[in-house]
Amino acid sequence: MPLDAMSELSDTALLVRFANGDRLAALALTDRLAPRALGFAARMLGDGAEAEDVTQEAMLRLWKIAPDWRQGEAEPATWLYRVVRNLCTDRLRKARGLGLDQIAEPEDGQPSVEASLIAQDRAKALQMALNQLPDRQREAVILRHIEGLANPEIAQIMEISTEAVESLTARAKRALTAALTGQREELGYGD
Amino acid sequence: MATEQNDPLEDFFEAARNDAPQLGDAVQARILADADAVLATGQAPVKRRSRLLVLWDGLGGWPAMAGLVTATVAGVWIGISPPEMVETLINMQTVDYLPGFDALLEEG
Repeated sequence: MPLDAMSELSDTALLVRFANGDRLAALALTDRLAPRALGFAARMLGDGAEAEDVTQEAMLRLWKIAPDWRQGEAEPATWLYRVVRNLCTDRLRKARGLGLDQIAEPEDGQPSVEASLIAQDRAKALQMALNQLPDRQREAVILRHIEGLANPEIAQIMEISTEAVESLTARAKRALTAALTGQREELGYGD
Repeated sequence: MATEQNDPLEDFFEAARNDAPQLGDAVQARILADADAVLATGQAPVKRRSRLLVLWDGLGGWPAMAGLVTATVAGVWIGISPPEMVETLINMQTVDYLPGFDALLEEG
């Protein structure tokens, strides 16, 4: 089957084809899922190189589990987000264990949230604010508002209830608002 | 409740969505190399087996179980209805393999 025709297949169908030895299915799945995994990992870790490593590791786990994939249990994308989440959590914990908690803190001399806004780099400013959130709040708000997932899917990924997702997202947004909105208005981003 | 239209954070989220990291060629190549490596292993993958199944095989599987069951049934049967020969053996006088040992003890 040509690569173009694979765009009509579901992620699960592609995974089954891969398990049966179809290399093109791997290519289609990589195109479809790896950027999402990378985006989530990058937002979680705030480090592009580490996010790439996490993405590669998560995709490797997907390849390995493909032959055992049970159809109807979970969507491959949901499963992959969960793996990425766990890998990121491990890395963040390890970094903190080694006293490298600065991952979540902007270092002296780096541009402040305000300076980032002056440079009109809202994405960067948001990332800096995200880095200061507790892990679970960060996960929830990234998945909801940047990755665009629905709350029930986020609940599956985080293995918590939908209500807990809503609560985490609300708290995260309050914290982000506090970190960003003041500067935003000062700099004329209102309306 | 804030909607996405009046959510003061929405500009930031939108900026982040537009600034999503791109999957570089090098990473994609690494990912596909992993996929090739997994395919190359033949992938009649080793499925995880239950501990009970592992124990079952460790004991020898069906052939060993057949022997074990036969021996158990025979033991129960002998217990319920012992053949005459077994009773005879039980009642036989114990053979003294060291007939002089008691004498040695007595001599100190």
